[in-house]
Amino acid sequence: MARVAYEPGIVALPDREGDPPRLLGSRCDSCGTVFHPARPVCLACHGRALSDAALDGRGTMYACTHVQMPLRPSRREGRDYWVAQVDLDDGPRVQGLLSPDISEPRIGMRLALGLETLRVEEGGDEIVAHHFRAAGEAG
Amino acid sequence: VRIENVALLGTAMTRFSDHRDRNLVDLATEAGLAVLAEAGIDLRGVGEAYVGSMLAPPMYGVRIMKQLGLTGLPVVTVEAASATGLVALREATFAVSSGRADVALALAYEHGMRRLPGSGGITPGYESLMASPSSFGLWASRRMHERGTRPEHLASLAAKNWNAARHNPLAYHQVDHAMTPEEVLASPVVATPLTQMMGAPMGGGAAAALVARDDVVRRLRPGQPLVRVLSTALVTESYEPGWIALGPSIGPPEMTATASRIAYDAAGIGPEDLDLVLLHDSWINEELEYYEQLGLCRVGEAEKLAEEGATSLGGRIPVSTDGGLVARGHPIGPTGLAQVHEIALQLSGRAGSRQVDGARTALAHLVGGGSSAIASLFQREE
Repeated sequence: MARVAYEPGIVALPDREGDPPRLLGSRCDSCGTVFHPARPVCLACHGRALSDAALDGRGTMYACTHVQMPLRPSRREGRDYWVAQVDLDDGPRVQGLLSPDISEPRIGMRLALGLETLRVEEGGDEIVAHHFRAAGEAG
Repeated sequence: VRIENVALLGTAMTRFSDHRDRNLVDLATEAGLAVLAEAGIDLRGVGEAYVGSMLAPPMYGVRIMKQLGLTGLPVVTVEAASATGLVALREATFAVSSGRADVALALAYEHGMRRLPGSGGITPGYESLMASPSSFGLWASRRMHERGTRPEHLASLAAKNWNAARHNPLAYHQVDHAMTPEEVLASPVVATPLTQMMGAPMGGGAAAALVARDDVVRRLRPGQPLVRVLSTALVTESYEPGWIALGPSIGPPEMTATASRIAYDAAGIGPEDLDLVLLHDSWINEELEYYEQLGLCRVGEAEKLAEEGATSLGGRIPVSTDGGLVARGHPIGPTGLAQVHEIALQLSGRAGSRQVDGARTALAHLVGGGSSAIASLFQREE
């Protein structure tokens, strides 16, 4: 009965419920460019020395779309969902799900990182993925 | 560099359709045999073959080529997602221009409706939680925010392509009435602001082209206008701030500008010399973006170009005269060679009711998996 990330290497789950998750990435030791997820080579300067970074996921919405094409039920419940691109305060632009609770998504709005449960496995493990929610709302 | 002395010897395609009663080998064989028949040769006359698909299992290219004969020729499988067909033609062109082959074959095939065991597909992971049309919805939403693009712009371009396909019996979509922007807008939403009729159907099909030295084409196709491959440029993404690593996402649109600029420069022509364009409209908002990136208009003026009807059949610079990906269909692998087939018809005056009067110069453009772009230029000899 543990929480398990849908894909390894993308998001760090907090040890305690209620603590915030972090996006996993790397920061170039030479030029400081930040990436999500982590990369073996800096794409900006081709430096080979990058340090692991955990990003708080705060940022500003760059684009959003309401997808009304259902996914396989094994991936995510619900027929429709929102996807956004977010300019993180830490640097990179990332793409991810929006929280189903978000009301009136709009370009320019402030976002923060949250988690959602995609499904519960037979043994009780919760499969979770990160999403973006309106900053200031409980996540 | 400009490609010297390489021309189209023949082109062929199956209809693009769901083909639920046919298999991949059958479709590929039909296109391969048809292109050989059009050129009046058999496989003994082909020096090299570049074959491809996005989803076919490994080794299918070599197996498919056995249907056409066993002559010992080199066969290389090419895979570049949606750009596969044009990349196969690029390699076949270089096989001829390098002197390795007098005649080379590009053949591409796909069957999205009847996938074989071992076929490629979506990798599970965070990306799989976002259906691929979401990337196009995101792109379109940003353009609406920055440029004031309206859903009606998207719908009118989609209707243009559906109506062009009414003149193309090999197109996936065949409608019995004039398509209107209203009908496009009324179809189900896939990813706002995109509706179902603004996106390309996959289905299946196959297409092929033979390229050869000019003298070989003159000998084998006497009386046919010579349509040359002038240049071809393939690029992948260059890093820019804002680049998104985890998608599904589409790389910087500047890939298309870069590829086309390299192709124009190599050919010694510019966008003003084009008589028609085939571009990557897997979702119709791409068409607006690529008008600008291909230089058909200035950045920020694509909506105006569309409003003027300049890119419709009969307009100043017709785009997607065969219906484009949206209506001719986009089985993925063979799409680029369907574009080449359309260009061969148009530049040799054989395009029937969709003929662009006096068409001499054409551009084909595709984007592969949002990660690469290819632009190829063709011109009929005066």
